[in-house]
Parts: sequence; structure tokens; C-alpha cells
Amino acid sequence: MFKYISIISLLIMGAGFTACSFGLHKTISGNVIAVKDSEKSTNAIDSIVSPYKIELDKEMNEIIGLAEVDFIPARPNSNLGNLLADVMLERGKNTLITTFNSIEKTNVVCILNFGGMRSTLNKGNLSLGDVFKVLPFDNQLVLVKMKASSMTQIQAWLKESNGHPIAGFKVDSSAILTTDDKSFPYEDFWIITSDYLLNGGDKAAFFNQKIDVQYPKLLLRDVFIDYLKKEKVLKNNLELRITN
Amino acid sequence: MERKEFIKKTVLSGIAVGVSNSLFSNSSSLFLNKKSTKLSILHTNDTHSNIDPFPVNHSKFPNQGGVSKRYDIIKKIRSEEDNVLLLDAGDIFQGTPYFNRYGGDLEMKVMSKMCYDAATIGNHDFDGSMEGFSKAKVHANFPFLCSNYDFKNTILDGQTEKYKIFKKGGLKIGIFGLGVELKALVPDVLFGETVYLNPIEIGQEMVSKLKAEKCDLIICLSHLGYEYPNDKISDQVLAKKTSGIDLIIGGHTHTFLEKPTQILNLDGKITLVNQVGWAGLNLGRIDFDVEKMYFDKKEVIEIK
Repeated sequence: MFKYISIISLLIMGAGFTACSFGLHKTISGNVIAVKDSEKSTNAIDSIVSPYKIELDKEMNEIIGLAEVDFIPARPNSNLGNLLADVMLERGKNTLITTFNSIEKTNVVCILNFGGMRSTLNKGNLSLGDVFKVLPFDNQLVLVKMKASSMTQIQAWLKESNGHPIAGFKVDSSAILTTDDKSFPYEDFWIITSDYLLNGGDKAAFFNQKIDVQYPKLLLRDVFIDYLKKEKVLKNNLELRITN
Repeated sequence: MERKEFIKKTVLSGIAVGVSNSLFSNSSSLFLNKKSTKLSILHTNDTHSNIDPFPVNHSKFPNQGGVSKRYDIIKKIRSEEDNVLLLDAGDIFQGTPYFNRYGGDLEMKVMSKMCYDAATIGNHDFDGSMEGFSKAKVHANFPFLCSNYDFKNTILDGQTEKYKIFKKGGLKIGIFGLGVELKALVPDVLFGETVYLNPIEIGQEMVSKLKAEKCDLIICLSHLGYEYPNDKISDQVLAKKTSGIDLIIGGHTHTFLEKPTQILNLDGKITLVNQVGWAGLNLGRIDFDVEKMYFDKKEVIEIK
């Protein structure tokens, strides 16, 4: 039967007086009803959903890897953010190497947006559908060559926004460092990122200092799916890349 | 008017308060009658294409949510209550492969089956382009209320309404919708020529319109977000800087509130703000017991 589960009832007696028209007196109570598994399913809805679900499940229930721990988005650092940024950095670098000859000497970093991580990857088997839940947006991987001077803007953006997933560099309030704790060289560099950020999403205004953009026509989600299918197991990495 | 002598007298269905009033003629005195009406507002926000419940191994919400079970709760409440409105505060789209593969058709179909009364448009409802939204909307039998997006030069022109008035149990409920600024949130190409208008100015304008239409309750469906550390317009800011809104049903920030927040509005009265997380994990319920007073010509028995 119907149950109120985790209901926090509230009575706003008296305080609920709003009297917006003549003699109107409103007493208000509010609560939250959790949609728990103890509720019944309804045929009226199931019959609509079913044809879509059957077709989609065939594709999405395929197990493509395993998570050693829960991968949970957080700010400024998270294991999920680190993982995704590392994966995009590696694929982006490889793409640059095949596109340009002398790229090895250039610094390459990855910057994604926190809001692009829409769910958690839960410990255990991972299906294709799990990946779609974390990366639902059809965002493209883009490679952007940047002026050296943009790095201080990036540092400020990361601080002001309380952090986004990054790889290939580290920042604190005073310094921008390479992954091996050297000062980040003041020279042009590449950012592996998403078209969402490049196009001004999340106020990433520093991309106005771009010199070149490469579009390898890859979705971020597809890059991650390729990685997971190849590596099979996702390992925890809680490295602190953004600190104060 | 001077302080009145009150008497209690049972009249028909309600309790009447007799008012002996020298302002009116001796032959016809007026009763001030009270009629109480209960209205249940059910609401969701940021359901993000979550058709199925969360997976059983989910770290925070195992097996929670899902449209089928949500409808079970809604049906039960509708069987218990005479006056129910079911509302959504936007971001219906994006978040599961149902959206990637079917473009939002299924979301609209299930919400229509649940008999949603109205929704507003969230930023992610632009994700499949305005044309995509328009195509999915064919399956919606409920209106989209958008007061501060001017879609005049877009494909959505004429497909949304600025406000709608619902009549339930003798009450008039005015509902309008406010959306978040799209620039830097949604790629330019997706919202095109949509013009974003100031939510506070438009919100107050909507209140004036709905008051002029004699609405007993005014509700805003908002996708502005609950609160921000900076001065960006949020539900809290909207509530403080306007008057006359009884309830703001919010979204966008995926805020889990255990109870509605009470905020003093410009008139020093309370505007409620509520938001119930995201993904259809919860259904919000706010019950209003509205006592409407009205004059009724009756014989008056004075008791001194």
C-alpha cells in the first residue's frame, strides 16, 4: 500500500498567513515523498515505457568494465574527475601526435567541466548505460592550442568556480605546476577539452586566447567507452590537483 | 469599520460569522462566510530523462525513483484529494540514454499519461535543439509556461504560454514560469534567438496580471536555481525582490529540501520556495488549506 517514507512534515501555521486577497487565509503544509522501491509499478506507465526499454536495454545492459570503487564527482577534486580528465588527456595527446610531428615537446593539459559529470560510476560491473548516465551529453572532444598567458586566467577560473576536472597540471592559489611539481613553463600549450567549454560554457572565457582548434570528431563519451572496453578495470585516483 | 460583535451561527455547509453592520441597510445585513478548500500541489524538477529507477547498486539512492512508481504515488493522492495540481520545474530532458536515443518523446508521453498540469522549460530542454524540443512536445498534453523567454524569432514561437489560470474547488490558481539565463549555460546555437528577460521584472508583471484576474494563489515554476554564492538571480532572490508569489517551485540546482523554505517577500509576507532534488527521486507535496471569506446576504441574529 501507499506509504509516506522519509516524510518531513511541516506546518507553517500562522506564519502561513499571506492574505493576498480579501480575507484569504492560507494554511500550508509541505513534505517530500521519496519514490521508493516499495511503491507499486503502474501498468499504465509500464506499457508506454516497455517497447522503448526493451530496445534500449539490449544495447545498454552490456557490461563493458568494472569499477574498483565508487567514482563520485566532487569539487575541487574527485576520483571521477581525475579519471575522466586522464582518459581525455591521453586520447587527445595521441590525436595531436598523429596530427602534428613535433608535438612531443609541447605541454598538453586537459580541462573538463564539473557539471559534465552527471552521475556516479558505482563500484562493481559497469554497463554501457552506466557510462551514458555519467556522460549523457553529446559533447565533442576538442584540442585547443592556447597562448601562454591564458594559464593565469585558467588558474583564476578554477579558483573562482571551486574547481573542475583537470589533468596534466596542478594549481594552488599561488602556483601553476606540471605533474612532476615543476613550474609550468610560460609557453604556448594545448588543452584537451569539450566543445561545451570551448564555446563559452561555464564562463570559460580564457578560450578567447586560442590559437588553433582541432576537431577529431570524437564524443567524450565514446572516448571513455573505448578506454573502459580496453582497460576493463577503473582504478581509484584521488590525487589532489587543485589546492588552496 | 468599527470592531464588530461576532456571533456564531451554522449556515448550510459552513460556519458563518454574522456581522451586524450599520453601514448596510437594516433590511439586508451581510454574513461573512468562510469556505475552506484544500489544494494539493505535487511537483518534480530536473527529472532528466530518468524513466527507470536508479540501479540497485547506486551508492546513494539504490532503486529509488522511476516514472512507474511515481505515478502510483500520484494516483493514490488523486484518489484521496479533490483538488490536485501536478507541476514540473524543467530539465525534463538529458541524463539517460532514453534521451540520447529517442529525443524526449518518451518523457513527454509518460508525463502526459500522469496528467501533468503544467511544466516550464529548463536549460537542458534545449539540448536536443529547439526543433528537437518541438518534435518531442507533440507528445505533451500539458502546457509549457515560460514568462521570461521571448521565443518570437524562434521555432518555439507560439508553443509556450506566459501563464495559465487553473480552477480547482472554487479557487483560481495562477501559474507562470521563469527560466535561467541561457548564455554561457547552453551553447548559443541551441537557444538561437531566444531572448532572456529579467525574471524579477517579469515575475512581478505576472503577479500583477494574475492578481488582476483575481487569482487566490500564485505559483511560479522556476528553473532559476535555489541559491548562489554570488548575486545571480535565484529563487531566494526572486522571492525577496518580488511580492505576491505564494509558492516558487524551483529546479536547476538539484537542491534536496526537506521542507519548503520560507522567505519574506517585498511585502513582508511569506513566499515559499521548494525543490526536491532531481531525477524523479522524490515527489514534492505542498497542501494549501485556503479559507476564503465572502459576504453572503443573510438574516442576522445579534447576540449582545
